[in-house]
Amino acid sequence: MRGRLIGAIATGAALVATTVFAGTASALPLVWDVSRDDGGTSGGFTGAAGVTVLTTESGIELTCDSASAAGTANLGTGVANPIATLPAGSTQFNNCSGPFGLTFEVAHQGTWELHGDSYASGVTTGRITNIVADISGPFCEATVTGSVNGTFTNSSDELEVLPDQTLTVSTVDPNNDCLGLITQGEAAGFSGVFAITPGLTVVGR
Amino acid sequence: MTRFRRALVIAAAAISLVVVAGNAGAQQEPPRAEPLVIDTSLDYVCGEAGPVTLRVTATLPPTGVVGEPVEPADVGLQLTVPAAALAGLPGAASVTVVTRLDVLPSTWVAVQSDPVPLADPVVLGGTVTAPPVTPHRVGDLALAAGGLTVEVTGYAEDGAPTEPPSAGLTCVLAEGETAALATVPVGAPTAERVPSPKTGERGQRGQGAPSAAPPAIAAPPPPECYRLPDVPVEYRAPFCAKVNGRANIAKLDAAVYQPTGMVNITATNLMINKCPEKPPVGCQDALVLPELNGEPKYPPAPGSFYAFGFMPATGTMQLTQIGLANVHQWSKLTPIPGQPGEYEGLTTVNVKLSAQILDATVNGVPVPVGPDCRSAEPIDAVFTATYNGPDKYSITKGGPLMGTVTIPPFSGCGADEDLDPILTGLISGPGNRVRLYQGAVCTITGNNVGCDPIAEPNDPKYPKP
Repeated sequence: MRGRLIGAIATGAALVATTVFAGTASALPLVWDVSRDDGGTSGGFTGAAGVTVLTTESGIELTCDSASAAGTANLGTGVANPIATLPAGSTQFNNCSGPFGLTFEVAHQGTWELHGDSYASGVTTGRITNIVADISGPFCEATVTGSVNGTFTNSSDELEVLPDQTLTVSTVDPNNDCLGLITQGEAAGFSGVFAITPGLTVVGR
Repeated sequence: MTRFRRALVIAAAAISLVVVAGNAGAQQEPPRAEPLVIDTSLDYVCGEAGPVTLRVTATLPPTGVVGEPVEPADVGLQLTVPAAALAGLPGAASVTVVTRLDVLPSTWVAVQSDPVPLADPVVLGGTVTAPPVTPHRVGDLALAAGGLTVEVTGYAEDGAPTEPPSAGLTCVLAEGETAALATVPVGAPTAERVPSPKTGERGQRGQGAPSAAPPAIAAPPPPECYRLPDVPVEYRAPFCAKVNGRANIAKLDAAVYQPTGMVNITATNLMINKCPEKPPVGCQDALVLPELNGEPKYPPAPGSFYAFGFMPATGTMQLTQIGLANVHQWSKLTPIPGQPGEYEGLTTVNVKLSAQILDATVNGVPVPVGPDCRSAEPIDAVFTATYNGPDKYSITKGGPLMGTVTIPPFSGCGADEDLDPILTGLISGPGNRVRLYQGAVCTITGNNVGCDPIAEPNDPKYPKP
């Protein structure tokens, strides 16, 4: 009798657990429905950001007055990651400066990918991966690689990059070593909010 | 003469006139290789003294190049003055004259020092000094006559100066008179300059970058750029930069331009949070030395001003740096809240200089200052710059550095007589505001941005210190 009760409780618990898991199944989607709000069928989009900030582990902030991006969204239903791609050169960072009146340029190398990791209530949480960005200035040539965390909100069409320091300064040219402003191996982060046009809707399931 | 022949003569005269006119027209556009010739008579009106005529002659090169001086040659300033204009010199039998014509941005000065017997009118000339003009932009360098001032000194029959000895005429162009003298077309300099790389070109490693432009070529720095020898090992990064400036000599209320010179800089690494200033700051030190033909000097700086408020004077000063200049720079690591791109900080330059007066003239007459006329003690100067605000400075892109300098007394001045008191009285003292402009740095090792100065100091857009 106890065995059956325990069994029933266990089954009940399992049922509850299943229900719980089933209820949060949308927290672990594998596929995406990506569409344009205007019903268009071309996946091309642009993004515009105001001030963006690159931070380094040592506490330096490099700020750019504005930034832009241009990419292609993977329109469709049941689409697997990446949700969108940003090809080489498709991001521009304007008027970037740092301490001491130093100025920098940032060059987007390779194709960066937008991956969704989770979805809830109209917000996709994910990463931009495969980032390779060359930072250059007088006596400074460095490369930052890795990924950043971000969210995309359907209602505002905003792609927000979160400042978690998940990037790495992978190389600093020893002949142009930025006078020690940036050191090879240190972590870096990026933040900025890009308004995406045309409006997109991304739903994960 | 028969009517037919007279008609022929008239026709021939008419034709020759046309030909002459045509030639004259052609002469107004000389072929490129020929120098430009100025030969024009200008009517001036000198207030109550009445009219005078000025004949201006000169030759100019047919073309100019940005950054290279355009030098007028064979300059003549011939003044025809009616006797009535010299009524202020009673009993004058002969005169000497200093004629000053504004030919912006400079002044042409003619000095007639041998007395000329008075006539009506009297024609006065003299030896002319016409400084070269350096154009800073491609286009037309237009030379035009401006204001005219004439200082006439009278001598009686016996050679003694009249009472009063001098009369001054201040003259303006007569109405309807054209001021244009010549226009020299100015072209771009030949390709020895390092072009600054365009945005986005630098740093592209070519991994499928969409921009077709090749990566910026690291041009070799100029030969005057070198790593400073004998500096402590932590000063490891060598740069050079062009520097020019503008000083306001307080006592004379005159601006003196420091023409562009080269400085060599070696800097330490940027230290993060290990600075005398409160963290989070970065800081860096540097040592600086000017370089002019192997000497720690800046190019000579010519100046012109009115001594005692009215006496036209010129002087050339040259600065020599004493030892190395010390630079300390600190900057916050994050921008001022709400002001991206604006970082609080300060660059401080401590430098000791010696100033030598190389030559001087008063009223166009050279004053022998001697070979060793210099500041009696070092000029102890401190210049500062910040990285935010309208006058922002960047350690790599350059910008303005400002300071107020005390000019010490002068000593060793005067070949025949002691000029120390006069020069010290005229120039030395506190409160001389100086604005230096550092151009972008050239890196000596590594990538290169180009050392061009920010502007030439006699550029009208150069702000007052």
